[in-house]
Amino acid sequence: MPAKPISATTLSSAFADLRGFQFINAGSYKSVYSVSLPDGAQEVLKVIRLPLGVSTVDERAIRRQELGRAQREVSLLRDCRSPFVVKLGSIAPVIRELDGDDCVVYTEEFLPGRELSAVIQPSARPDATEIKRLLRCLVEAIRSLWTAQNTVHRDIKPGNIFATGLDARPYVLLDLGIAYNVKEAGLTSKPEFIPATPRYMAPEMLDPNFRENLSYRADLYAAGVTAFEFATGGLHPLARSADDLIRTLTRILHQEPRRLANERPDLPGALTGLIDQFNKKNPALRPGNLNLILQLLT
Amino acid sequence: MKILAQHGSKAGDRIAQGLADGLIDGVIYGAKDIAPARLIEKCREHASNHPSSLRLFDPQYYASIVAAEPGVRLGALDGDEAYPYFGARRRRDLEHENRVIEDLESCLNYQQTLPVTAFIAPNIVVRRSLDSVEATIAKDFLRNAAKIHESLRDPRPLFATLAVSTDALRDRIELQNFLQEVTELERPPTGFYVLIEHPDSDIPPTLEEPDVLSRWMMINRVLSLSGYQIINGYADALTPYLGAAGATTVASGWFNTLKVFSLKKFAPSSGMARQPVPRYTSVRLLKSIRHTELELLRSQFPQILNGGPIDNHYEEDEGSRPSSIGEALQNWDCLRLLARMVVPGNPEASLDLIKAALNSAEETYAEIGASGISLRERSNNEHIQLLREELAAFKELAEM
Repeated sequence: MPAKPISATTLSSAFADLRGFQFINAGSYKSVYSVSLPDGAQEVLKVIRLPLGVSTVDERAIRRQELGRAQREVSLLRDCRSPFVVKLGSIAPVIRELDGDDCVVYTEEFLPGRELSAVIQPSARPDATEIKRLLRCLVEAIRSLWTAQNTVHRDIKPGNIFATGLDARPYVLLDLGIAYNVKEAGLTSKPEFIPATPRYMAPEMLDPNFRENLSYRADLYAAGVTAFEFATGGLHPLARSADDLIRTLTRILHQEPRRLANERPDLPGALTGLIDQFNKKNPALRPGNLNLILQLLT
Repeated sequence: MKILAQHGSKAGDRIAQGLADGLIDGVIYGAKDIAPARLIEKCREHASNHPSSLRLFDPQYYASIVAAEPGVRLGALDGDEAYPYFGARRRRDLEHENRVIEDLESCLNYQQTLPVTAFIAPNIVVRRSLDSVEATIAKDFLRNAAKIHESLRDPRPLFATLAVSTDALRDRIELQNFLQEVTELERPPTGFYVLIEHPDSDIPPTLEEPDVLSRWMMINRVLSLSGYQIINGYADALTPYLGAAGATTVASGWFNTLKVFSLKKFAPSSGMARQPVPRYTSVRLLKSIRHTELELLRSQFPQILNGGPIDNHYEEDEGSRPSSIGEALQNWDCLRLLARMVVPGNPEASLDLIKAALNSAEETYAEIGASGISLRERSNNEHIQLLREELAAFKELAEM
């Protein structure tokens, strides 16, 4: 369930030098706003609510989890050199009490454009060049996170990608809130909870021991599903729009995905074949050589 | 797809003739069967006569793990003029990564002195399980091979040996995880030299045990999807299936021990070996038959002949019995013809062609059976159903 957004009034009084708070969206614990800095520049303010109750083990664990995730996200964004991953803004993370809750607050750069989820429309049929452009940006981001930071994003989806319209960085990956560093201790407090968006979750993440073999190939799966939806105007390779969670998960595990060539016969076979290969259930069947993938996409 | 000679004992002029006739694209020398001085001489000779040929050297390091066993047959790997990188190794020695690195360095440094066209990095055979100490050692070899190769600053490509027993292929999940890890190496080699180790050197009548071919194909599929070149050693008649899955190169030799890979070739001899009966490999049958069976069938069922000048090695006047060189050349020629079923980069199209070939083979066997002629176990149609099952299993594994 999305967090209750902090009101603009509360934010204005807590951050007196910022102006023009505009709510953008909210997740379970996170709310996002656009703001104007004193010099007039725009940035995106992220507010992560830390559960205040610390009386039970669960509450303490969730607080620790959310604080840890916020710290990890900020650390990843600070160190990431890829232009295809969003950059930190000018306000370093601080903890403030807002509306009675402790919150981690920081800013990220403001990007022009809109979420990819808004670009994907039933009538939209991007051409091969545009689909390749999207995939190239995503694979570059995945490569950077993996090779430089041992990290799997785990939540690549149209809602976490910004279509900027900029030549140098046409698509930018957002929200590393549940990113997973394979060489660091885990942050998830409840083992039964899989931090991901089911519709884009790689099948191997449904294995209780998925962390043992988790790699960038899980992100390739999500990138493949995203590219499939982008190419087809929102058609998912597996799911149906009316599916509940259980059905979606069952399809992820067992159903053979649609082939993109059947939906977009006008696209080159090499491109549709590559995207279909990203959507394989066995991670070993997704191409493992990111440099080679990028070559194929040029 | 390239076809290489899998070198072994009593090579004679087979390789030179195979290269001269354009039947093979090169050779993989086997350390056991050629002394270092002779290796250099033959390598130079082939380089001089066939400059574009591929010349590789299998260091057969995997024999080091059985080298201390009584009666072991190491051939040129051991003795006064032994290869400098070779020695007996215990598993416990190789559990130390430093030992692995030293052996890799020693072996690749040696190969750098050879006029080979590519390096083959050594490894052990994973004999029991892909989730075992042996598998960990094998991954250590794979992880370190490219780093050591880079330090040589030699432009020749590197193929890392990936040797797995049929037993170790049994667990599908272990295979999947192993392949995932192998294709996520930080420093990858140019390609892999894939060896599937069998319990013995006899060619099974069905060509493979259940689940082995499909998983061997899966190894090729996964490696090819990640852009690796794949040389399958000892592939022989499995050439088209491995090619369909993504193999770029296969190798086969002239004796059974060069058509099926087994560590048994290093085991003590079990007595006098019988002289093998020459065989003819038929594209139509997708299998080889004895020369006597060819003699019996060829006039009534001419479709089992591959056609072309190589068939002249099986003169009817001679009872269709070829010379030993002729048999090797015919087998390579057949592999080359079988490889035509492979549509590069299109496994589904390749499998369609193979399916049609299996149907043709089945029809031909049915005609032969209807004529009242029965073929020996190693020549009959037992492979067809198993191949169909293996191809179906592969398609399922590969999510095709």
